[in-house]
Amino acid sequence: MLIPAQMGPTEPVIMMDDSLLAKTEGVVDNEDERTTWVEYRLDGEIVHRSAHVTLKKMPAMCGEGGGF
Amino acid sequence: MANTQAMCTSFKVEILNGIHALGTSVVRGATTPDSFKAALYLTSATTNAANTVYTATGEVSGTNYVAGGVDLTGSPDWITPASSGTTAYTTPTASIVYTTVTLTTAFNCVMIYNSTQGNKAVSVHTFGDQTITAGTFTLTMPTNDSSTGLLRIA
Repeated sequence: MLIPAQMGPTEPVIMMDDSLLAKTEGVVDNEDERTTWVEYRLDGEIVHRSAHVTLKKMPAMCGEGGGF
Repeated sequence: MANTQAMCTSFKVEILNGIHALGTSVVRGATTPDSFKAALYLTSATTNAANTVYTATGEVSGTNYVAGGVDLTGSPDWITPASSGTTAYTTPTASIVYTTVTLTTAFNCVMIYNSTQGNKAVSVHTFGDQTITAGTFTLTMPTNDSSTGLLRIA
């Protein structure tokens, strides 16, 4: 499968065959978010990293009515 | 029976719908919802409740990321505000997606702002530090209800 890859931040984005790359995946799951990520490395350098953050809960604004 | 002081739940929903103007408001030419955008901020930035409008200060930069971020892509951008119990709530309709970007300096924050109304800030949300290389960053919204909706007036 071809994936977008970049050899450095100033280099162009190219398509690379993922069979040439080392793939790592991870998950972070806590009370605030569930995040999954995937990295592809070439010779130890990250050439692709994507992440998907799912937010779970945000603080509410409090709308109390004032008394007299 | 007894009287109970409260901020009316209907008022909370109507605030989200832009019905009430307790101070100087804006002239609206239509009843259509406003448009909103989402900008990402570096972990080193100081983006918080004090921000009144979108700012480029502390915003991420990199390949294929345009200053100001991306449009919310729902139609409309937000799920119709509703209430449950005494809490009004709403959440963006769709995930926020930054496609094939390279953001090599860690970021952990998104600001949602109103691009129809002078880029006025709506909310700031944080998450764990991220970097992206030639990849896609997707921010999926929480369940839209009174306990987890992205904007809730309790």
